[in-house]
Amino acid sequence: MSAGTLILAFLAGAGLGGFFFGSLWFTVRQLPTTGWPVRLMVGSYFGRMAIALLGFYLIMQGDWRRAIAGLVGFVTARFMLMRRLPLGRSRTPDAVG
Amino acid sequence: MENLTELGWIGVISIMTAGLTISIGAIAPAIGEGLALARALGALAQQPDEANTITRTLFVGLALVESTAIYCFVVSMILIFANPFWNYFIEQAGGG
Repeated sequence: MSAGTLILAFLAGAGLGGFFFGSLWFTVRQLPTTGWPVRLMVGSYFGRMAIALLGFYLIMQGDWRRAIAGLVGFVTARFMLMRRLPLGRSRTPDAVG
Repeated sequence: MENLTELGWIGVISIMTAGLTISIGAIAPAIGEGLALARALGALAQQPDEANTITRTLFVGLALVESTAIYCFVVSMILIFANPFWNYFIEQAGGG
């Protein structure tokens, strides 16, 4: 297990996380204007989950260390995305962990 | 069950734990996501002017809830496809 494959798994997980939470953000932003909010959320949920699960299966390649590296990348992408988001006007929730 | 080896027991317990992990990890985020979404849709219907704030807060909440499901999924996938204990005992059996 070289460090290169772990870094590659980390980057792939970060890309997957960026896709997952990016599309979640787009879905949530459409919520006030859409006519079918439940259909939108459920469809988006299953589509995102299917791609994320397939991505994790491809990232891990039968080794648990690569799976953990991918998960760390996923959570890092979430953290970066939440940091970039301008949260609220008066106060910012500090539960970004 | 008498001729089940140590390796077999590791497999049985791993698979049962994976099932338990993903069942809890599916139920709890589903409840949380349903509650969050119901409250957010109610708030959007009552205060359409605050849509920006509501959707941002909803996004943060949903991201936290859904990543819980992803954690559980990765743990159960490790237990099924890349079980470190299973691999350790396979190596022990092969080496010894």
